[in-house]
Formats: sequence, C-alpha cells, structure tokens
Amino acid sequence: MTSFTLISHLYIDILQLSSHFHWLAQLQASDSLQRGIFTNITTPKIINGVLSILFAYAILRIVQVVADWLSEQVPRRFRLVVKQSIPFFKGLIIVVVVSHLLNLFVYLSARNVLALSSATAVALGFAFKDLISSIIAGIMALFEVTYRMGDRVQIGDHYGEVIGYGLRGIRLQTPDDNIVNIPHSKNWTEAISNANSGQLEAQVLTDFYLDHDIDVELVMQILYQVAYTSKYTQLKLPIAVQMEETLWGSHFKLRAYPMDARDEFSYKTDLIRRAKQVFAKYGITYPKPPIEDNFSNK
Amino acid sequence: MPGDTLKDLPRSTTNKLIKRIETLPTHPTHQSVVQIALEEALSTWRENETANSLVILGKPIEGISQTLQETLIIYKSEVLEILNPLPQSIQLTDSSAITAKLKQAFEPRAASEDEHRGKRQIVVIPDLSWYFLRCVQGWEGVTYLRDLVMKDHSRFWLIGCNQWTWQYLSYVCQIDAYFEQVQQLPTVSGEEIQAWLAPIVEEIAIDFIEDESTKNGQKNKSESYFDRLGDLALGINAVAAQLWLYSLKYLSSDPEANSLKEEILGKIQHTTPTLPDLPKLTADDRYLLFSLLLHGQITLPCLALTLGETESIVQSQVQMLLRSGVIWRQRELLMVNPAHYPRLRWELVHNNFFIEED
Repeated sequence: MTSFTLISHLYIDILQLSSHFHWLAQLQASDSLQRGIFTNITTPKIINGVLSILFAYAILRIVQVVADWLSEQVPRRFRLVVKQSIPFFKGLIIVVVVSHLLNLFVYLSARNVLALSSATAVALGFAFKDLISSIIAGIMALFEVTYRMGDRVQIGDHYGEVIGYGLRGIRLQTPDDNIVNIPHSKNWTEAISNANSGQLEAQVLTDFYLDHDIDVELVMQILYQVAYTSKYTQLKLPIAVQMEETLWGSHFKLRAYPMDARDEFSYKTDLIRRAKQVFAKYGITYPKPPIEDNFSNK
Repeated sequence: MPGDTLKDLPRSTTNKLIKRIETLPTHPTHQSVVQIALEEALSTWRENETANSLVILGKPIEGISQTLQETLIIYKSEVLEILNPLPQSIQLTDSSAITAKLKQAFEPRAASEDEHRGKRQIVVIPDLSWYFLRCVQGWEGVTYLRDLVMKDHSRFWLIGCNQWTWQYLSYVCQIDAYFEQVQQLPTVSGEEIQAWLAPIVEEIAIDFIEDESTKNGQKNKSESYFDRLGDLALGINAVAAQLWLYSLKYLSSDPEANSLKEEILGKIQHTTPTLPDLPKLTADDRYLLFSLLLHGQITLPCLALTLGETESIVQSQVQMLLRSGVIWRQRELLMVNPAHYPRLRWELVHNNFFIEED
C-alpha cells in the first residue's frame, strides 16, 4: 500500500471515530456562560445618562432658586414651610435620577447587586468615608430633625440661619453675612443648638448690668414694659425678666420673643436703646467693674 | 352701547360722596346691639353695684365713639344722666401728660357729685384707644381710668374700645380681668349695608349694570351686588362704604371727555365690587400699619414713639403709604384707609402679628 492510501484510510477512520463523539462537537452558546454586571453600554445609553445627570442638576438648581425666591415672597407664616420642603424635593430628584442610571447601566439581579455593593463598600470605605458619613448624617438629620431650613443654629463656633441643605452639609448665613459650609458629619461629634426648631420665633436674651443701688422693682417693671412695647415683640409668647447678682452689680436678663427670628439683632438693639432711654430718665446707674489693682503688690 | 365707556368719577364727586358717607348715621344694627347690651348691663348694675361697666368693642376702622354717642342720644332715661367728660383724643407724646389730662377731666366731677345725687350717671369713655400709647408707661392713662371705674361704683361706665387695643391691653395690663361685661359689635349683612347706603344711592340715582357677578337668575342685581360687597368688606360697614365708592363709575358717551371735569357726562353705575390691591409692603411698613390699626388714629410724633423710631424715618414711610392710598391723613391724624383693611388684615395675620380672631 502506498503512503497516500495509508493516510487516506487513516483520515476516514478518524472521521468515523469522531462521528461517535458528536456531542463534543456541539457548542452550548448562551446557556452556560453567565451575564456581566453592566448592561450593553451603547452610545445612546451614554448620551441618555449624561443628559439625565445634566437635567437633574438643572432641576435641582431651579428648585433651589424658585424655593428661595418664593419663601421671601410669601407671608412669614409660610416661609419656613417652603424652605423646609427643599431637602425633600432634592432627595426625591436624586433618588429618581440614580434609579434611572442604575436601570440604564446595570443588570439589577441579586448577584450583581451583591457584587456591586461589595466593590462599592470597599472603595467607599477607604476613599470616601467622610463623604458617606456626611451623607448618612444628613439623611439622619432629616428624620431626627436636628436642623431644618430656616432654623437658627449654633454648631461649634458658628451661629446663623440654615439657608442651604445639601447632600454633604448645610450652609449657614451668619449675622456678619458670611456663608459657612458645615458638613452633616458634625452631627456625630458636636452638639447642635437650635434656637427655633422650625418656628418663626426664637427667644432673644438681652443682658443689662446695673448698679447694686438701683430700685429693683422699678427696673423690672421698666424691662417688662420695654419688651411689651417693642414693635417686634410676639405677645403670644411669654416675656420674663430674671436677675442675678455679681460682685460688682446686678445682672438682669430680659427674655422675649420677636415675631420673626430674623429680627433677633434689630430686636435686641431696640430693647437696649429704649431701656437705656428710660434708665436715663430715672437716673438708673450702671456699675463700674473693679479696676485691677496692679500697684498693691509693689 | 358701542363707544360708551365706564370712567372713574371726577375727584370732586368722589370727595362729595366721601363727605356724604361721613354724615351717615351709625349702622342701626350696631345701635340696637349697644342699646340692648346697655339695658341689660344697667339692670345688672341695679342688682349688683360692682358690675358698673360695659365695654363695647369694635373693629379698628369702625367709629366706635360715634356709635356710642349716637346710641346714647336715642337712649333716653329720666333717671340717668349721661356724662361725656373726656376730650376727643389726646395726642401727646408724654404719657404722664395724657394721665394729667384725664385727671383734669374727672376730678372736678367728684366735687360736684352732691349736686346730682338724685340721678344716677352714665359716664362715657368714647374710645379707650385714644388714651394710650404703645410706649413705656404709655397705658398709665388706661390704668387710671380702670382704677377709677373699680373705685367709683356710684356711676355706670360705658367704654368704647378698638378690639385690637383691648387685646393688647389684656396682654400688658390684664384689663380684661377687670371688666366682665363686654359686647362685640356684630358684622352686618349685605342687606343691612344696602339699607344703610340707600339714602345716598337714591340721591345720586345709581343703576346696576349687568355683569358676570350679577347674572344670577335667583337674586336681583342689587341683592347680589350688596351680598358680594358685604362678603368682601368682612361685614364692616366702613369698609363696605369705601368699596361701594370705588365700584362707582360713570358711563361716558363721550370717550374723549376729561374725567377730571366737574360735571359728570353720564349716568353713575355700579361695577363689580373688588378689593383694591395693596402695594408691596416691607416688614417696616407692616409694623407701621399694625401700629396705626392698634391706635385707630394717631399723629406722626405719637406714631414714631410707638414704633421706637425717629420722626424723620417714620415720616418718609408715611409719605409713601399716603401716596399709595393705603393710609389717609385727616387734620394731622393718620389712619388706615378702610378699603384696604381686609387685605391688610390678611397680610398681618399671615406675618405673625397677634390679631384678634373674628
């Protein structure tokens, strides 16, 4: 037999053999291979995603601007209601757009969500822990109502009105017209002092320091009347005069509420100015704090 | 008809109508309520000497003093003498001077009491809000009157007061604790307003024009008109009178006629009554207007004192408000234009001012 004949016979034998193992030749294309986390990312999807983000950002800005404008146009009674609705609207918009993006780019199966959240947790745990801490604190503050839009709060050394409630922190407008950004994470570590807790009125404390020899009853009467006759005073809320003694004089504290917490400093000025006019009329004197005697030891 | 247009009344006509409105008597509903309340209070006083007072409360823009004076003219009694010792209004910026004037008015009365032993006396305090200022010691005069009423049970005291003033004085000196018998002037209906304005309506022979608000087959045009007027005016006849005046137009057959001319070239007609728009008010404007309503009527120096501001600052604000028609000035006294009262009240309530609920 020639070699060609031998090879031909061998080839035919191999073919006949392989016909018994036909199952090896068939490939199961789709059933055995598993899906990836991300969907098929196409150009239209990317454009959709980018436009969604831009649109959401525009809506957030519009909501903030419109709500800020509207809150100053409506009567005082509705001002805080309008301001306090801003974080909820913003939260809603963010939730909607994030859901849309996830739906667009991610296969939301249980396995994929688990894989995604694990990866996210690792990344966030190291890189963005402060940001996430602030976001979670902000969400907690919404439910615990630690502060709201329009509230006058003291956080650390900063006091002012909450004029912005963002994802990461709040913006305070101080009496000096400065804007201070304070991350929500301060909620975990610092005490937050809230003067009005969603109400229009906040108590104003005005201190008066007078000589020991004054007529106490007259002074208390004057202070009550000064508060009662101020154009700013909210008469539905109590007015109180307290007194303490110090070494060098008597310390009077007048506690009263203006109709609008924003008038806090104008109110205090009005009370002090008119009280001093009446004190002058009655010859009520002020104490002289003791001068340190620097020469006595020499 | 085509070419006919409705025009505003000439200023002279408006001024005449304003003067005519001022000569209208107090609303008969108010007079009868005061009369009934006074008779009941006097009967209680005869049995219990300490119940020797009756307070009549009216809205800030109602002429409560006029109501009391006109009711007492009608109310005649042979056993009672009616005394009006107080001057119209004491507009002084010194509260102790106000008290001095009040003492001056009352103390000579004590000396002559023996002469009138036969008759029991009703002493009238026409409007308590005239004798107080919102400033330190500004209600000394009111406190003096209050103590006088408490001490002198031999006389019956009929006291008129602005409702907002009464509430303010209740906060600052608990005046409501001293006066048990208090009568609020009621609101008036559209029908009652129509009857009250009838003399003027007949004088100038006004027609009702057909418009959307009066196209109601179940009521005639004038009833619908006055019902709407009463609702807009919150049942206050002083407000209703102004809104009625604002709704008057004349039908000019000559569109080019000058509306400032003395003579009206056409028939006067009612249009749908509406509330006039308030200008945009700042926070300081609201404080000023609240102070005006608290005192009813007040001079500029006294107004500045109640606001705790200098006269020059308040004067500029007052000028702006006078120009916009929200307030009026009559013989140095400033007051709120009654037509603006409903909207202004709403504005103040929703800006957290304490205001008596109606």
